[in-house]
Amino acid sequence: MTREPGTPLVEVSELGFAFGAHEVLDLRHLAIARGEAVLLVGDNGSGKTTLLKILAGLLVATRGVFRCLGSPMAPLQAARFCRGRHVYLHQSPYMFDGTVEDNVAYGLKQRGRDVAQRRIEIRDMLAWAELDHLVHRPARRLSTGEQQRVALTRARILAPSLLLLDEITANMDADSRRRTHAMIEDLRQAGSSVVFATHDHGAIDALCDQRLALSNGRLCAVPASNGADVIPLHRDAASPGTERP
Amino acid sequence: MNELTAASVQALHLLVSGDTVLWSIIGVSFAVSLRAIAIAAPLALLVAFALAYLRFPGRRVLVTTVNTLMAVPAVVVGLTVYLLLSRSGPLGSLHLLFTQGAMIIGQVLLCLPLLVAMAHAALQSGDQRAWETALTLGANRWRAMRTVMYEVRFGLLAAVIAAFGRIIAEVGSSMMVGGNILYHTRNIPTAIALETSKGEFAQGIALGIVLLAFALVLNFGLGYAQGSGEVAR
Repeated sequence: MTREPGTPLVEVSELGFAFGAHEVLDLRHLAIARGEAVLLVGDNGSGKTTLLKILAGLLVATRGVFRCLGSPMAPLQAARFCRGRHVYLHQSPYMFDGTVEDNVAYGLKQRGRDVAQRRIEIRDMLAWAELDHLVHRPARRLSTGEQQRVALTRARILAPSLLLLDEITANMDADSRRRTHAMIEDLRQAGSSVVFATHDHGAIDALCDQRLALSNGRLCAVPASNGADVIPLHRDAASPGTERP
Repeated sequence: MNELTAASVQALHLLVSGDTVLWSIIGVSFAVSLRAIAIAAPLALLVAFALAYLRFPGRRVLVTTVNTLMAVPAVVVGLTVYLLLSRSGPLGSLHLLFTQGAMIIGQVLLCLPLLVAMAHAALQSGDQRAWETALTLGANRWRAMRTVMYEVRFGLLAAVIAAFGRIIAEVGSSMMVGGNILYHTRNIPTAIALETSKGEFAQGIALGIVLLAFALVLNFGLGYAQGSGEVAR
């Protein structure tokens, strides 16, 4: 699939998601450009994780019109398209039972890379993440900050077009947070779009091109560019999601 | 007491002397039960995974049904299979009654609910993030399912071992649909029941020793696979 210049990586209109009869997400329009960093703020239960999982293809929207790389798609088709291309990182990353190397290799194995090629890529990527000294350590025995860096490395090695980060620095100390932010900036330089869902957007704010806020499942605010107070707006005012500060 | 000691000594002698009858009974037992578990386990794992990870109408009813079927006695399973396979039954034309095939069908039906319920519990205790992480890293649903199962493999292994333990020791179904025919369908539990009813304890004790030794080996194997058994630090 070829992409015309200026075509958003992913664009969605009239997006809705419901658990049973209870609609938890109701977005009029959202667009994410290639290489763009989007800040997504909102309280607990506002729908951030649901939105990220829909964009990752892990949940299927109950309604909405998607355009992925310019091609219109129904929600189910969009979920299939996004899965594997867009990588979602949990707030507390899941480490598969095995070493750091096993974890970083997981996605490459799914893509059928041979062992020799995998080893070279993994070695380079762990060096990039300053994790090369942990390569044979059991991943589940690492600290939270180290596990999060392994998760970022595991995602980066797949060169995803969109990274969806769900409050990944929430439980980190200052040093881990600084390292993680540096890694995210590197990822952007490598061409990935990034969506950060976070409470703590002060440090991230400077990295972002687009700022969105969710409240009760609706895009309701555009935070100030300095990361200060969020000013609630009418739902319609938040669209289209491509506007730049 | 002397009688018990004498029977035990005779049982050990039967075991070490390579008694043909005794070892044929052991052979039938393992041939039937291993084939039954090989058929039931993949099917049960798929059903358990569907119950744990898929949302579909009737899921709760299915979980309750599986849990209820765990309590069905082996003789009731035996009776059902007997009626199905008897000459006048709907599957009578297959001529399976009093064959190892009939015993396998009975044992599959007997262990399926236990396997599904225990595997479902193991999968439920797993972490939803494993499934999501596998998918987001590019695994298709089949591979993601295998990943999730690998992550809870000790729980699944315990389910298989428990189910195998149930069928290799069951009497009711095997006796009814197998017919307890020496060299063909006489297995360890039916042989123990027969020999005990005749007052011949030596063979029963020898077969009991085999069952116990096998259970010990299985549990050592499971313990070794699980590691030290300590909480991860």
